[in-house]
Amino acid sequence: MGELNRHLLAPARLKLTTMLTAVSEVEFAVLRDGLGVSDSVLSKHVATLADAGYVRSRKGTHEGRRTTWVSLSPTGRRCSATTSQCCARSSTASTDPHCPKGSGERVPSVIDAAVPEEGVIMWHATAQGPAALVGSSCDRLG
Amino acid sequence: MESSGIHPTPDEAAAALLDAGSARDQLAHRLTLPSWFYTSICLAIVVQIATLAVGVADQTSAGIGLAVAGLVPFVLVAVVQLVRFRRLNGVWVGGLASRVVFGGDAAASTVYFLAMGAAIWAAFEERWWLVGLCAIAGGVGYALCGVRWMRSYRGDPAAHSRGESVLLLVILVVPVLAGAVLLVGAS
Repeated sequence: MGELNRHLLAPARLKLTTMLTAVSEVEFAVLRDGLGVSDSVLSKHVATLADAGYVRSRKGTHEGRRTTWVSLSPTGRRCSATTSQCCARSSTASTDPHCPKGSGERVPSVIDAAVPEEGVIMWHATAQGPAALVGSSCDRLG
Repeated sequence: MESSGIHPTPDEAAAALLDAGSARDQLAHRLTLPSWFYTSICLAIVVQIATLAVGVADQTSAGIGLAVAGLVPFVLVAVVQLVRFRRLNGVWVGGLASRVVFGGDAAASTVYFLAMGAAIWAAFEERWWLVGLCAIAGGVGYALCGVRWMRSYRGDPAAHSRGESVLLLVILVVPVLAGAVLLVGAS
C-alpha cells in the first residue's frame, strides 16, 4: 500500500485535504470548525500530512493574534485532484492518464480491489454510490 | 472506515467521500465578500480607464502623470478588499485575487482591453462623453466577470481556487511597472 493510503485513510484527513482544495490557504480555526475536531486533533492531522509532504503550515496572524495557516502542497493538490477525477469517473471506464490502472472501472466486487503491482487500493462503492481511489500513483505524480 | 483498516466497506467509503466533498462545498459557500466589493472594483476600473484614456490622448507629461495616477485608486481598492476578504473569512483564495480583482479571467481581460482601446480612441477624437461611457462599460463588465467567476467557484471550488503562479504574475507585473516608471521618467 502506498504512502498516500496510510495518510488519507483517516476520514478526517481525507476531509481536511478535500477542504483545502477549495482555498489557497486557510486559517487553523476555520479548518478546525469545518472539520468539527479539537485543536489537538487537527494539529496532529496537519503534522502528519505535513511530514508526508501533502500540506504546508506556517505561523502568521489573523485578527491581531498569532495563528497557523495551512495549505496544500503542490504534491497534495495533485493527489487530491487525481483522487477526485478518478472518483468522478467511478461509473464509467476512466480515460484519464493520471488515473492509475483500473480506476473508474466498475468492478463487480463491492469491496476493495487491490492492484498490487501499483500499490493501489480501490474502494468500490455500490453501483449508485461513488468509488474512492487512493493510491501510490500520487507519490509518482508528486 | 478506520475500524475496517485498509478495507473500508463501500458504504463507509461512499460516506467518507460525500462528507469530504460536502465540507469543501460548505467552506466555499460560507465565504462572504466584503461590503462594496464589486462596486469598489467597478469604480476603480472606471477611474483607471478614464484617466488612462485622457492621459494618453493628452500626450503631455501631465497626461502621462494622470494615466499613471489612475492606477493608484485601483491598487488601493484591490489591496484593501483582499485584506478585508482574508480577515473576514480566514482564508486566502488565489483565484479570487488573480481572476476577479486583478482581471486574470479571460473575459475580464477582454472586456477591460476593449473598453480601454475604445476609450483611448474616443479621447483622441475628443468625444469625452464616449470616454466616460467606455470607462463605465469597462468597469461594469469587469465587475460582472467577477460575479460570474464567483458563481463558477461556488459550483466547483477545487477547479477555481488557485490563482496564477507567482512567476507568471512577476512576468506580467514587472514590465507594466517598468513601463510606468519609464513613462514618468521620460515625462
